[in-house]
Amino acid sequence: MGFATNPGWKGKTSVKISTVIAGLICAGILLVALAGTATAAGAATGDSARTTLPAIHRRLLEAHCFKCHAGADPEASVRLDDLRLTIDDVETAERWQKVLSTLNSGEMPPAEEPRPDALAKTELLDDLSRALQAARRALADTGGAITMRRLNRREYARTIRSLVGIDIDVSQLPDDDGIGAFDTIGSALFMSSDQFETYLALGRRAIDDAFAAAGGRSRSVHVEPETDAIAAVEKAAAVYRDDHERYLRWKAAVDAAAALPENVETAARLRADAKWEPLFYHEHAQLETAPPPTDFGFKDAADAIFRGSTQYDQHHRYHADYLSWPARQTGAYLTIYKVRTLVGIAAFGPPGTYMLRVRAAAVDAAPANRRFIEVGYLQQPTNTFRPLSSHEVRGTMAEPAVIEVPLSLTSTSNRRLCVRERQPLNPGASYEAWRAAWDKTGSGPEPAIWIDWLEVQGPLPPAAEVVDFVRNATIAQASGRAEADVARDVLAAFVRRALRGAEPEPGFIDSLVGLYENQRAAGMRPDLAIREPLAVVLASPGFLYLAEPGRDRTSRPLDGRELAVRLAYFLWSSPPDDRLLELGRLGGLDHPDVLAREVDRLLDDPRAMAFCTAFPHQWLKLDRLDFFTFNTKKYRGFDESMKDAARREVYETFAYLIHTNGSLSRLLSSDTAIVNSLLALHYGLDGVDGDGFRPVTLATDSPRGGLVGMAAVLAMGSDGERTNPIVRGTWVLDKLLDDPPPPAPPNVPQISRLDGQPLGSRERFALHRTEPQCLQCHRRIDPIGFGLENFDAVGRWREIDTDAPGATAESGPPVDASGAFFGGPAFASFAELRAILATQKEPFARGFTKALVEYALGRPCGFSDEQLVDEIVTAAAADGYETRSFIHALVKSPQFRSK
Amino acid sequence: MNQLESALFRHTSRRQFLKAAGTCVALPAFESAVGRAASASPAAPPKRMIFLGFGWGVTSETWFPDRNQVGRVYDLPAGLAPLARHKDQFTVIQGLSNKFSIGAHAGSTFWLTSANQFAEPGQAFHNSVSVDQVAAAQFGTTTRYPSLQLTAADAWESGHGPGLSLAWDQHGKPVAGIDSPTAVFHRLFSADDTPLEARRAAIAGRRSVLDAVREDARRVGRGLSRADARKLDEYLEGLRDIETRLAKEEQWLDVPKAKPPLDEPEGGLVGRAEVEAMYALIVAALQTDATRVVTYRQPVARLLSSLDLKIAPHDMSHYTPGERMEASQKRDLFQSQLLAGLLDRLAAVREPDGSSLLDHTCVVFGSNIRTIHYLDNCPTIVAGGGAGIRLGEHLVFPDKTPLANLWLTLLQGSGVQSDSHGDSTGILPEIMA
Repeated sequence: MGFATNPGWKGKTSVKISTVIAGLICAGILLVALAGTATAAGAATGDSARTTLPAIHRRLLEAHCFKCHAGADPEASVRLDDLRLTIDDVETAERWQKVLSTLNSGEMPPAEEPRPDALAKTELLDDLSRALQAARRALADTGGAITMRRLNRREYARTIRSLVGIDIDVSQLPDDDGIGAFDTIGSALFMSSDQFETYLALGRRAIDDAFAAAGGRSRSVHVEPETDAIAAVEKAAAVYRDDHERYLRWKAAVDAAAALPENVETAARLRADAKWEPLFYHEHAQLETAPPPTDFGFKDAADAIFRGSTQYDQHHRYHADYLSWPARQTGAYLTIYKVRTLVGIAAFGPPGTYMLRVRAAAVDAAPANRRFIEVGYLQQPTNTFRPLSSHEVRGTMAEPAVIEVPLSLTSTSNRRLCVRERQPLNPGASYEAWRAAWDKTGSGPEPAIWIDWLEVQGPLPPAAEVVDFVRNATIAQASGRAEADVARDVLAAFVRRALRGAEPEPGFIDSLVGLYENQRAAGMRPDLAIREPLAVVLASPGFLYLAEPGRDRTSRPLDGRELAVRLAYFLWSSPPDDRLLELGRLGGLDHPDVLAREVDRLLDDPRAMAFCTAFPHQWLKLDRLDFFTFNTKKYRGFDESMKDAARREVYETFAYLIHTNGSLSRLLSSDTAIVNSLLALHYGLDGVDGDGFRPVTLATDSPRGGLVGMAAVLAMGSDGERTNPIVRGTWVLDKLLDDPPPPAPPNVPQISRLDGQPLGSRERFALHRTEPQCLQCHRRIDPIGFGLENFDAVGRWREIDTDAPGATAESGPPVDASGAFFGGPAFASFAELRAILATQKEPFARGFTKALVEYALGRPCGFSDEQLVDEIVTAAAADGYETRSFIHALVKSPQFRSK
Repeated sequence: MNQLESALFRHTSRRQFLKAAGTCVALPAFESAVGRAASASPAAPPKRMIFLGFGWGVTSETWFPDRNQVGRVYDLPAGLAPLARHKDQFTVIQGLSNKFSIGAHAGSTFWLTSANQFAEPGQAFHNSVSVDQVAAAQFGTTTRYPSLQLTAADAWESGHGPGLSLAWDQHGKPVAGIDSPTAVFHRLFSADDTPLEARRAAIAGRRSVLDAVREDARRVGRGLSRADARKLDEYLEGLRDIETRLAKEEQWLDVPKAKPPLDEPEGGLVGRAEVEAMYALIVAALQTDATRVVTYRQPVARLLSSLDLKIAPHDMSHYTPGERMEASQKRDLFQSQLLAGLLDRLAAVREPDGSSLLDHTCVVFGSNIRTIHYLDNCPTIVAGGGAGIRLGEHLVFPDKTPLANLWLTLLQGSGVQSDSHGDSTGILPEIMA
């Protein structure tokens, strides 16, 4: 896999092995297997090449382990001489895992025994960890069987939306994207009694909210923020002024007392001792007849000094300045620290879509990085601002412009909306920016954003799905039929839609009608009584599971309806629409041309963004981006809004490739980047306007274009403070070269802690070379990671190593990005590294295909899928790796079309 | 459940149950329902178990006692210093680990189960019952709640790994936890003012919902492969669990909830205050015999923020000397302080026979992660007299002694019948008093 599949490099790999063999093998003794059954078992699985440890390694075990760990009564009951080289069952895997852990932690062989040869040990560890990794995969291989799957959290929310037309907050459900597998893998999606009750509660809320949304009357709220702003700033300024004046009066009174003859001597001493002028007044009690600060309305001397001096000095002038800024009478300026950081507007009303409009301008002198606002809300009880989105302010003071932000508000959303200048979540970072200005000028930073007015209109007319749902769920009066029959029709129709076209059991409908009648008997009105049975449908197994009847060990073709459902959840994470379901049920989808046309139609639909978001996110493991808090004091620009833009670049780039059917290889290297104005700022690209992502042609020497130049990928290869070349190197091997290193083993000593202070990256790598348990993987990983060192912890280009001990943002040792792939070509720079990666189209396509198979089929991609993967890659290669050709080839395959 | 059965359940009160079963069997249970204090001749106080788990481990260098000082005479290390006044009431145990745990970012998923994630061929994730749920199956029959699961809203950042609480049910499925002290208070003590008949009707209504979805399950289950049928079984097991819960609710319908021995906690508590409130609620739950088994998956991220430590918890776990290590040590200190507070509270509650609640409670405090990526020598403290183990000692076992052996020992010591747990190879006779 990976570079090993490159014929040019394979030779080197075998040279390496033969060297080891020469160093190890005594006079042609080569034991084929440790136990007789190995060959038979290996043949049975068909994966034996990868799950079998090369026999050569037995020599090391023999020489260093068997003395104690062999025979009927081995030391510590650990017996190694009967351990099979082919790892084909859980027990063998566990025993080898133990060997690996023991060697990794360095506890065996015991200190008094001879050390194994370092190179031989490295090779053993390398081969053993890979064989174990392969064995884990082989043992988890379902042989193509797809386990019935529950809707994951994303799909559940979208399915509810497609049924009743509204969004609900699903954060109470477990996030299914957590256990290291795609959230579509059925065997990993569990159900419990608690979860059932949550589904029931959420279903009730969805039904209630849909009815509420249908009846909502739209209204408009308008806020002129300057009225509040001026009053509040004037009031605060007056308080500072009053504190200060009282403080001055107190000081004068103390000074007068100090001038008294009996105090002169003490006063002189106190003045001399006071390192800071106000500290003299702090000691006022030592002067006879000096009045206490409580006479002047302060709690004590510290309070008087803090409010009357420190606070006044720091904040009064900024407040006073605010009240002198030119356009304060017609709009509100936003500051980033103190004075007026937020303007707000409440959006109350039923669930639905609301339009927030903000008429805003950037002050003429505002620098490019301060021309953005964030829309969000204040989280209670801490009053913390949580951004929902960020927006470029394109209006000017001469010509302010209206920014429109559509918001989907649920019944549980926080409705107190706020707008502020874009800034990090960490208030400490804003303090520092304010402080830097204050130190220079005695006032705060110049304002950059001015808000003329805010307006919320909504709810906008409800979605067609809401209207349809409510119409169909209404118990019509006076229809001349029995009420129970009307209820039955309503429920049966809803159940059919909820079950995605499957025919419900009459008994199920009967029970639902029974629930309706119970509610009626309890005195509920028909329009309310119908809600409980409707909600119960949303907790039924037919709704929650994508069930496909089938048999063990034999597969059958899906019927048309099942195929439509599978396709829709693959590409939309939503149920099929009427057209797709009709094609499925009437048989049209059997036809390859029709199926291909539907794939294209689905991919052209906006709903495909669900696939273009969830798939790359999980495939590329972007969740790591949220694993660390970025130090926004150090990287002020990389705040939540920028992080979000960085993440969206990955989705939008993937969506762009899907929409234009571009080559997948453009993710390795490309002359185009898909960015918006905010991200362009991070990359230093000029001439990109607006919040929408669009293709931008890059200069030929640009480091951007392709995944390894993306901020999201580079930033998650850091700890939020410094780069982590190991994480980056591992990611490249795993995601770009289809050569994933084994997971980081537990209990290996952490090298960065071996001595008292953090080491430079290269020194750390040098240490990796000293220990076989490190070297086995790090010889592959580290060179790639160092090749990406031209990007700092947040993915900005740099020429100097700003992470080196003693380095600053301006000075440090130059970055050395040169290196060589293990057993592969050398590179002198990042550009060369990327050029080499760009040649690895086939392994990249292979890794992508495996991920796609897992995501689409909802099961691990095992060794038994090798042929399927080959076929898809071959088909795509023939089309120049066009992104859609992978999807077409997969959907056409018998695996996709069978249970 | 067929109609006859459900009719039986619906009309049989808990008291009638007891009458039918005979007084000798049911006395302690009856007593716990009405409150032991009122009883004239107190029976032996029941055993209780508390499991407190924190993700991301501890600071190795300053949390563990010196390995050369074993037995009763050992120095408390800095990280445990706040526990000094309780030194005779707990034991620190070293050398234990879960051999199958290889996920360094999952500090709690397998902590109490000692399971092997890869045990099931064809499955990427597997877990089995946790030790608390084994105890709950036995202790929980006579209390309103078989067990109580507490958790924190920041579980993921706090290094706990997959799961909904520390507890995993008999089928190895995650058991949900409550993450708000206020919600716990209401669960334990809020009186339901709805008339009895209305509450009966509500339970009947919830049963009809279960019956309805079961009708659909019949259709879905038709013709499923075995693996798929097992998935549907998870759903059906969920329904059965709810039914058991409803039956229990019904039994307790006419028994009012205990009077709360503490005030309702404030809303919005974070970190240190949140843990304190939860600890107080744990004691209240045991004191009123609402349950006898409690697990708490504690906050780490929120604890740090409440201590004004501006460092991401995962960063802290990868500590190097300096800011990160100091944060890690502060975390240890506050966790020990909080634990000391819990032990104070448990020791202050008197049983009818004059002994303290702590004398009959087994408190386990630990993590599946020692520190960083180290999954060996899991930090482990056992306190209280509930499991009858030696207290006031520092015990060091050979490395890789199964943590499950401790679980088994504590189960047996607490009187729970169990022969094995997870990868246990036997009990640890050395720790038995």
